Amino acid sequence: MPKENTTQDLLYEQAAETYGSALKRLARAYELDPEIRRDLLQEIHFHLWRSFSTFDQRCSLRTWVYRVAHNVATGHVISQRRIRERLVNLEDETIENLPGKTENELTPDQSQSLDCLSTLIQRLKPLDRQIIISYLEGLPATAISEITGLSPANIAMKIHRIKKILKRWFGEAGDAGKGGVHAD
Amino acid sequence: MQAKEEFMPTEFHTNNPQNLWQSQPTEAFKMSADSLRRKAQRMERKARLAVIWAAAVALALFLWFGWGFLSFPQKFQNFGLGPAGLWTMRLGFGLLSLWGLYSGYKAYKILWPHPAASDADLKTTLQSYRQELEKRRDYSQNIWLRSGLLVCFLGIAMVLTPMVVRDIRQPLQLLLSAGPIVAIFILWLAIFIPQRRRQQRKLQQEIDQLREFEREYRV
Repeated sequence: MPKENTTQDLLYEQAAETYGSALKRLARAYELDPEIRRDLLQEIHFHLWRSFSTFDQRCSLRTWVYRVAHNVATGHVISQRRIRERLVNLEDETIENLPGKTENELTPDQSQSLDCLSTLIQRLKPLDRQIIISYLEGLPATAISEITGLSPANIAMKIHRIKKILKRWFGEAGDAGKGGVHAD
Repeated sequence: MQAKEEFMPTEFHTNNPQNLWQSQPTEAFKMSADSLRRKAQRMERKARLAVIWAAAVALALFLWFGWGFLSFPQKFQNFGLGPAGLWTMRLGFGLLSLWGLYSGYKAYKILWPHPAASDADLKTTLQSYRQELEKRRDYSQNIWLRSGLLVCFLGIAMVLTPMVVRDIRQPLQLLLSAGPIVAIFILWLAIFIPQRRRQQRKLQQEIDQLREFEREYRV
């Protein structure tokens, strides 16, 4: 087996081991249908493996993995024109009016809450979707900035908006100040 | 492919979206290096087969229309056309023959598997998203030029026009034979062109937004 293939395989194994669960959550945020989601996840893993043939450590493994994963998943969203044309920005007021989860309706049912959260995420345009997913994964603002290419100040602004929306959806605790995004 | 079950934490914080998100039940997913390599080989094989198939169709079109071009005027002398009509038809066949070759070349350019550019994955998600939208916009803007459809339509028009001119004195027969095709073509254009313009406008709006975003908030 050629040497670069071994390095490529090792890097992929390390990435899949460390970020496997996060990638699965990411796929869920991009695709609701379980069958299509599985295909998308395979596609993400395949692109990730292939990308490691050119990985030169100019950025961290985490940044690389999230960039590749988001880029593949975004390509998946863009290819679905009907869905793409209905997506909104975080700043769009219609996102406030989505049938969300108010404080009174809260139930301990995790699956229902997750469905609500997924519905919210899947209404967003790719860039805002990438930011909210990274925020939910607990990535620091600097890491989100590296992944997306937006400035940390802009990320902070977006996250402020995300927190406001999530607060409305999930009640006071949704502010997530404790586990929120930190500046690294 | 391997899958490892991760255990869900017993306590969920459904009011904290971050906890909720991170504690969702997921199976760690990993593909084996062999299966990934096999998938890569399968994809390359599929792309090469698609190119071979497209090249075969292109060659068939080139030969068929080329034969039409070369076999003039013997083949079409019974069509009742004058020398100008015959030459227009002949040139139309020539154009269609060249278009056949060109479409094979385009299929090769698009479908043949190329190694990924070394910095292809270094792009930030913002750049990647914008470039993907630009690719779609450019594809839809230049589809006529890129696929050589203009040459193809011109060739078809040159082949058909002399016969239409010949039959112009029998309008009913002309209407019956060419009417349905012309109607379908006009209907297709009436739907396709406004739809394409609408899509392009939306794509351009989003690209402009992203460019503005990049200018304002670049790291």
